[in-house]
This record gives sequence, structure tokens and C-alpha cells, in this order.
Amino acid sequence: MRFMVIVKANQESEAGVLPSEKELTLMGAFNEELSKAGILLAAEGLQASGKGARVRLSGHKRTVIDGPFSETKELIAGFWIWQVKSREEAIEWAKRIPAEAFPKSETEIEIRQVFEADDFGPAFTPELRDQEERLRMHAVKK
Amino acid sequence: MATDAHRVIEAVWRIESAKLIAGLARMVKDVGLAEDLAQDALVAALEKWPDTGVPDRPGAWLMATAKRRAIDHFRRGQRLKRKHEQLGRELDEATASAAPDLDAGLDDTIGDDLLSLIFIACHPVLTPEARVALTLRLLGGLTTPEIARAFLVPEPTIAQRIVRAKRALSEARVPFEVPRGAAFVARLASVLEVLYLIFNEGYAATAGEHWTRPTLCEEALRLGRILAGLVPGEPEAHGLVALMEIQASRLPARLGPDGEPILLLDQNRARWDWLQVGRGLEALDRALRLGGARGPYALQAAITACHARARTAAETDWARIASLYAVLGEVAPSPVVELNRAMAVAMAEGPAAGLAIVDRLVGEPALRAYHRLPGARADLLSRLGRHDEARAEYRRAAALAGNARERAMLTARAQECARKAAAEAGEASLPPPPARRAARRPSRPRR
Repeated sequence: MRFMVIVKANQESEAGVLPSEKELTLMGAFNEELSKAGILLAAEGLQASGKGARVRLSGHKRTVIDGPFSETKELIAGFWIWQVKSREEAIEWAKRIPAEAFPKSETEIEIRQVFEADDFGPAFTPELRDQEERLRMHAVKK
Repeated sequence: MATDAHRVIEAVWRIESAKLIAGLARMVKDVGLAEDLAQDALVAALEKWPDTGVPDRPGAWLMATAKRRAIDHFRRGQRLKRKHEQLGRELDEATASAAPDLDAGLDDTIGDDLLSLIFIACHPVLTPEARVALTLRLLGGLTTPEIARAFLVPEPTIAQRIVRAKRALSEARVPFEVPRGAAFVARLASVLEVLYLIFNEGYAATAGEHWTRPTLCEEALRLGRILAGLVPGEPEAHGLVALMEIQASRLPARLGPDGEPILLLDQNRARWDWLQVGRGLEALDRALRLGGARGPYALQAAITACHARARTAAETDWARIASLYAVLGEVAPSPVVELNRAMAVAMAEGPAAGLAIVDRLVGEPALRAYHRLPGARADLLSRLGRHDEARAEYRRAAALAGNARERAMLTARAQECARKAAAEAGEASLPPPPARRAARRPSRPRR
């Protein structure tokens, strides 16, 4: 299972305040823990929404809105993608994010499961599920 | 709610169990005993944590609990008073200033301990099945039922396998340590083999057939990444991770709507997990920068990377694939590798060139029952217009094929060849068509 683990924005991140060296070191060590556990698939920080934009899709109409955007608490400041066995495992790792990495204000982490191909229902799921039959279809061309 | 608490504890167990067992194994020098002690700690957690909540440092809590059990165990008339004193000292140190000391001690040796655990679980004194089961249990934290489901084997079989494996390690007095020198090289090869076995178990089965099958690929990948992190200077560890990442990236594209497998060259590449491909190519790059270009896993990764680098099947660099197979054939000779090389040569230089190589393999004893050999010959003969011969080879391949779906496909191809052969024979007996009229195929009864 994969989860996107989203770091919500706060006043500092929206003000473009860069993390201190200590905070970067702590985050780096945490990412290293994730890497050593073999679960880290991606980790990125996002620049403040002031540098970003929104494209609103309404039927055929397209509207472009420049940042910054006001609802700080709903904005994103960064994300990870983790490969874990369960939602609880993702939560458990999120709880281990070092406190001193976000010293100034309260920070919220949101955990969202990534859709896998199988999750898209019958259109993607094979009907015939014969558990005994092993399909080694690495045909001649593979 | 009780069940929620259990799921949380399961999650903590998954994060902590391998390190816990590894640390204990270093202390008590017996992997079986270490696992029993760890299980005791888990039972204690399941009893206490639903009420107290998960402690701040669950790993430290589990380790302290396990150590107490260890002391009890040794107190109960076991040998080594020395061991008792040593453990007692460690426990005193741990409890004296609580968690920080315990964690510090763990950090120093935990890499080595985890690596030792990986090596011992894959020890050559164990059968390959035992190594797989023990690795999934001790390092993956999978339960016996989970392992049994994954391999479609009854639970008691797996349980016995694990019990016997621990006993074998104990009786052989296998030391709990990371091997050195030539032994390290040989044992690392065994570890990589076990991980790739687990991966293939998940990959070769139909994706989505059973929830545990993709889980096996994920587990093999996770363990592979952990290993690569522990021995970052070993190119083949990165090569194996690269191979698994790139192969796994294709899982979403491998099955059609009816569950029929889709061949690599026919897959919709938009459905490949390109983030995963990226990780695989990075791992391959690391292997190459470490000078591991001629390692078997790196070579297989490089071959599969050729497909990943082609935006469409038509852009595949077959010449490069053929030359990589040639190197693989030097490093790890095998008739199957040569067969794959032949097919790549056929794609790069035409079917006749490929057939020349395949023909040399026809007498190979190792390939006598391998349906892909006649299958390959049939494919090349067909491309050369030799439909009668191709049909015979497809029927030979169908007779050897392992499962019904493959047999059906090969039989269908045989019939297709028969049809083509008949159509050509029919055309040959007609006078040449007049210049401006389109030639008409005679209708002939189907065989």
C-alpha cells in the first residue's frame, strides 16, 4: 500500500521562511530512518503558494488565479510517499516525525492512501481469479 | 476500541520487530530464542497497551520487556551465569536512565545486528524454502498464516518449516555475525537469491489474483532497500533493487480486463509506475558507479531498463539488449540466457540470425522440457514464412506448456500457422491474377 503523507502549511511556510539548519538536519535524519526502513518512495518540499497558481476547470472554461492563497491551514507545504502495510503503520511513522522539526507553530499531517490499479473496481480487476494457476507469461518476446 | 488498538500494535510490531529480534539475537546468541522472547514482548504489549496506550518509545519498551523475559529464562536453571550478569547489567543500565541509553546502544550496533539477522535467515545450511519462510518471518514480520497464504501452502507446513529452520541453525551452531571476506561474498549471493525468490513468487503470479501476491513483491522490495542501505558499497544489492523496482513498475499493466496476461511489448506503457521506474534507474546507476556493471543482477536490471527507457515498444534498443545478454552469458552462463539472447538478436537483426542461435540450443538437455524453446523456434520460423515447421513447433511447445492458458495460446498459434500454410499452398496452385484485378483467396475447408 502506498500513502501520500502531506505536511500542511503554516504561517512560516507561507511566509517563505526556510527551515533552520537544525530543522533540516532533524528532517534529514527522519528521512534517513524512513529510507533505512525501506519505505520511503518520495519526499519533497513545496515552495510557498505565493509562487504558485491555480487553474480552475469549469466545463470548458479555464480560469487562472495567482497565489498566494488565503486558507493557510488547507494548503500544502510538502509531502512524502511511503510504502507501508497498513494505514496504522503510516500513522505510526507520522507520529515519529521529530517535534523540533516544526518548533514554531502547530503543524498538521494528512495521510491519504494512493489508489492502486486494483482499486479501480471491475474495469481493472480480472474476473478470473484462479489461485492455483500460476501464470508465467513471460513469453518469448519479454 | 480493542480491534483498533490491535491494528496499531500490529503496525508498531511491523516497524520494530526485526530490530528487536536482531538486538536480542546478538545478546542471547540464538535466533530461535530471540524470536520467542520478542513474541513474549508482543504478547505483553497486546495485554497492556490497549489500556495504557502505545508508549512514546515502543521499541525501547519492547526491548526492555524482552530482556526481562530473557533474564527469567536464564534464571530458570539455564546455563551461563555470565549471561545472566551481562543481561542484568544491560537491563540495569537501560532502566537506570530509561530510554535514551537503550536507544544509543541500539543505534551503534543495530545496523550490524540487522545485517547479521538477514544473513543468518538466509544461511546455506537451510533449504531455500526454509530461508524464504524464515526471512519473511524474522525480517518481514509476517505471521505464519500470512506466509502460508502467500505461498499457497498449508499453515502447519510453514510452521514446521520455521521450527525446523531454527533448530537447524541452533544445531549447526551458526554464529550470529556478519560474515567476512569470501564468506561474505558467497553469503550475500544467498541473501539476494532469497529476496529475488520472494519477489518472483509475487511477480509471476497474476497481479491482483490474491491480495498477498503484490504484497510479496512489496515485501521483497522493502527488504531489498533495507539491505542496500545496510551494505551500500555492494553493487549487486543495488542491482537487485533496480531489477525489482523496474519489473514491479509494470505490474499495473500486466493484466487485461479478463485476467489474461498482456505481453511486455503489448502493454500500455502509460500504466507503468514511472516513479518506480525512476527509482529503479537510480539504483542501477548506483550499481554501475560502484563498478558493478558485470554483476548478474545489474545486468538483468540493465536489460529490463532498456524496455523502461523505450517510450514505445518500437523504440526498444534490441541491439543493446542482445549485447547485455551476451555479457550475462559470459558471467552466468545458462541456456535460458542464450535463448533470450537469440530472441533479442532476432529483433535486432532479423529472425534468421536469431534462429541460427536457437537451433544450436535444440539438443540442450537442460531445455528438454522447456516449452519456451520450441515456442521461440516456432515464432522465428513463422516470421520466416516456414509455417508448416512453425506449426509443428507450436504443437510441441503446447504439449510441454505448464498451464492451461499458455497451452491454449500455443495451440491457437499452431492453428494460425496451419491456416497460413494452407492459404499459401492454395495461392500457389492458382494461375497468377490478372494485372488489374485483386487476387481472390480460394475458400478451403479449415483443418
